[in-house]
Amino acid sequence: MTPSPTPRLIRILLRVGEWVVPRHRRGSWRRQWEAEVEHRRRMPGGRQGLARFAWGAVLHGLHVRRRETRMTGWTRELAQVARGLLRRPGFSLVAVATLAVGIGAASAVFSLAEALLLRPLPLPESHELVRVHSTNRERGHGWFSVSVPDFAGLEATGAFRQRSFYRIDPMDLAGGGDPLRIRVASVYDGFFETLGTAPTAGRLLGADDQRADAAPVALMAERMWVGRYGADPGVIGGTIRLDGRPHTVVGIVPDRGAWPADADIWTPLAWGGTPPEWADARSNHAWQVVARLADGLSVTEADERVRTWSRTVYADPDIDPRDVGTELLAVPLHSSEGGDDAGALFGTLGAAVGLVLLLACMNASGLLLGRGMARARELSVRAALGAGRARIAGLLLGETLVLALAGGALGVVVGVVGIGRAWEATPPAIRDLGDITLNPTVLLGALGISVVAALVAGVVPALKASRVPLAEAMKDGAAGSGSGRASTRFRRILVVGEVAFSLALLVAAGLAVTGFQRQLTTEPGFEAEGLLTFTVRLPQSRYPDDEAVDGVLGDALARLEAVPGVTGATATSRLPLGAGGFSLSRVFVFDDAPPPDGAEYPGSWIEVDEGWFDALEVPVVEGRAFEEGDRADAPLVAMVSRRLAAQMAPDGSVVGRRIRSRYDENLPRTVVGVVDDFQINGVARSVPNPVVLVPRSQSVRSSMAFLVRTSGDPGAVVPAVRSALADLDADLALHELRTLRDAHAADLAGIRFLTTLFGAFGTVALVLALSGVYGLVSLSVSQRTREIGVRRAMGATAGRVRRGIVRESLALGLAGVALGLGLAWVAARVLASGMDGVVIPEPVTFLVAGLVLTAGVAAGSWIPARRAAGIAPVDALRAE
Amino acid sequence: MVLHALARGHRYGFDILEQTGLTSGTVYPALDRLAAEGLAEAAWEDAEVAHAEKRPPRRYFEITALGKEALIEALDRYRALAPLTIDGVRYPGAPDQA
Repeated sequence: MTPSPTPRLIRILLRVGEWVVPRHRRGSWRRQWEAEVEHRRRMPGGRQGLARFAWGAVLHGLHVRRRETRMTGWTRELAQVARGLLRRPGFSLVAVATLAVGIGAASAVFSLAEALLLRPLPLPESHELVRVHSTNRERGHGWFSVSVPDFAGLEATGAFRQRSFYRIDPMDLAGGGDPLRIRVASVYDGFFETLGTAPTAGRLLGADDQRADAAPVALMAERMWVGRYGADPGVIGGTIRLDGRPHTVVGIVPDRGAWPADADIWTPLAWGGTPPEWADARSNHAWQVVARLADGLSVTEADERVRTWSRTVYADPDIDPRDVGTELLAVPLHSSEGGDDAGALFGTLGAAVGLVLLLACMNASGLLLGRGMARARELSVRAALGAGRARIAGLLLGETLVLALAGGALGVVVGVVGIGRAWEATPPAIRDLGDITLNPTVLLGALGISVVAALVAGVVPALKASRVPLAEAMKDGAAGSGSGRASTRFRRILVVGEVAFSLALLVAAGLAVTGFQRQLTTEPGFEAEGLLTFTVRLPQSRYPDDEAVDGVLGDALARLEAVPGVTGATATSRLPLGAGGFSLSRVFVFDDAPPPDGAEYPGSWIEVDEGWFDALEVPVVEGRAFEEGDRADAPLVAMVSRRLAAQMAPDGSVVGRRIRSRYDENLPRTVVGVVDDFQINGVARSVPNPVVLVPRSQSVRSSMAFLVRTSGDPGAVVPAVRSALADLDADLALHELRTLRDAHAADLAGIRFLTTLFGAFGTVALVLALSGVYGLVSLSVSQRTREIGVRRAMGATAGRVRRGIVRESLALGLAGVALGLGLAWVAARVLASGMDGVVIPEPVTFLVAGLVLTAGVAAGSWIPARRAAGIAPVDALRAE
Repeated sequence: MVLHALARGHRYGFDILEQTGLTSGTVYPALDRLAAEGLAEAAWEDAEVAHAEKRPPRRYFEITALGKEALIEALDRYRALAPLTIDGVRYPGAPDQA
């Protein structure tokens, strides 16, 4: 017989069988079946029923798999436990759902923390990489950049093997398409060596590129190379223009492990080893420092050395007074991106989900307690058959673990995957913080959370249930045995605890939400409707001096005003709500009373045209606005915002006085007017920033923002605005082109997201607390059926029974509320210290939360109480 | 039955299947079980023999001394059962545990 190819169906069956067989048995299994099938096929008439024969391969495969699996004992036990739980689907579902809520919330926050703080960077030995920041707690500053002398001084700490620094600047890129505003990292010697980056193509920067006379070179981010140039290898060796200055592209930086991650281009600082004079000042904190730890040193040890060293440096009496109290610190590179705010945010979020998880565990604990009581007889049978207390407790804990794992799986699906989806829809400001994914770290975290939840929820009920007094439990009427004094006490503790913790969570959520609401309803202080905004940057190469800049801006404004639909256009150095421009905070003093006699006042410095006041509709509350006459050659003038005016002259008027700032070359300016407060930095700051306005004609910068007022929809004039400016200079890139209304909405979106989040925490807390109280009171009632029956038989009315049960629950609930108010007070203090807009005491929130929970407890006990009162005495006694 | 077939010199899966009339889904797991319990021994056929016959090498099973003991015990037990005739067919015993 000539062998013919094995039929397809047979091959599929063998493949399925092989897939079922555990991996280490596959080879032998396959050889056996190949031989058998071959033999069968060669038999006379052997092709008939061949498929049926081959089906045996699948069954055989299953058999092998079963045998292998059966060998481990604990999987069998686990399966047994799972089967037991499946027999009581109602109980199991409720328990799993309850735990899923807590574990899901905790896992979701953990996944966020993982994305932001824990995920290592794809760089060699990335755990050795750190960022060095400056900080100044005395002056209330978070993390900020490092000065070049401080960077040089780090050598003395011996904490780092390699280190370098960089600075990110926006620049205009020309070449390869429309002009584009990009982020350029200017890096110091040894930057890529410190990180250990390997180029995707071409080369990185070498020592020669850092020479002062080196030809300018640039590295391009992989995503820009692919996105803008279609990964054209010809880009390497080609020329791009950055702010008009030609650079040769010498290499591509991979997206994975690129630092800083949002840079589009890297260029060498090319200082030739010595920093220029302007950069070499201790008070010029302008540089981001990356470093690699010295061998064997931990981040904590390095941090300690850096802090100690910096404290000595800044203890020098000759230090700039504004730098007193500055300290340097080292943090892991991968967790430095979120900034120091991220830690505080996660502290709050972590505490909130911790409470949700605790509540969920307490609920599950109550359920398990009830289940243990209902199973008293089954458990005592086990005990009678020789199962020790440890074994019974182990069995119950095993059940809880299975429930928690199921809850954890559900929680991960709902929490992490759900949050991941929701993440896509969140405002970019929040989304940019990190990329949420379901990865092994998150899964491991969720597993850990589940196991902890199982222990928290399961230990007490398991220990209680395993202490069944044998003889009593075996007796008839055993249901009464579970309601022993100890169990009752535990049940009461649960009720009080649930109420207390949920009250704390409810109050905290309420405070956060009202705080956010306050921000949401804050008037921005300007009219956002009908305004189109964008910024342009005028490259120094083509606009070298103030005259050129002034000329092109004047032309641009004239062209913009000529666009149909545009009713006015004005230029400023800074747009409200964080869009574009500079937000230089400067310190001002009175010209006549400088420190140490006079005080100093920080404020944001904004250059504006005369048209600015009409465009934004910011009212002048005192003095006058800028006028045509406030030219460069006229006396220097300034205006201040109402808040700054109040700070500078609490009792009198600031108008007419002269102020100056060393950041304005100490030129005295006369304050000519006061404008109303407005939100320059967005509504997240509940208190408007102090602002100083100066006429643009008396201070020219090369970065300008435009405000264009339109009669209709500002979006409609965008093409005409673009072409008007392209006529002026085809290389000018328009950045952050948007309507002020959109900017305002985007600004609020982040707060809305947090409002929703905290609102959800509050709701979950309330639902968990109410369902928990309801379950525990029901449990207590069902356990006391006999007692209630006796009371009814002795003449107690239904109303009296009902009242008795509700009163007992209310007493517990009120105890919980009292304890909860204390907890809530602590939570509120913590919240208020870390969040703008949260004000304490806010008695309304406390009162409402307390009332809602008390009412909830009453309602939660009313239903079981009514059921108990409805029991006919005879039935109650017979039920036993 | 599988043990019985092995004892009679049938040495691989398909052969036993033919002999006993059991399905493939019964015979192969049974053979594994016998091997696991030490009642049978499995070995691969000499590759050269298989190659000469232009087929893949077979997995052969052989009854062990323990298997023989177990078989004798089982046969004794079944022999102890009274023979039975159902619908005209005479049954010397029910299928053994193998």
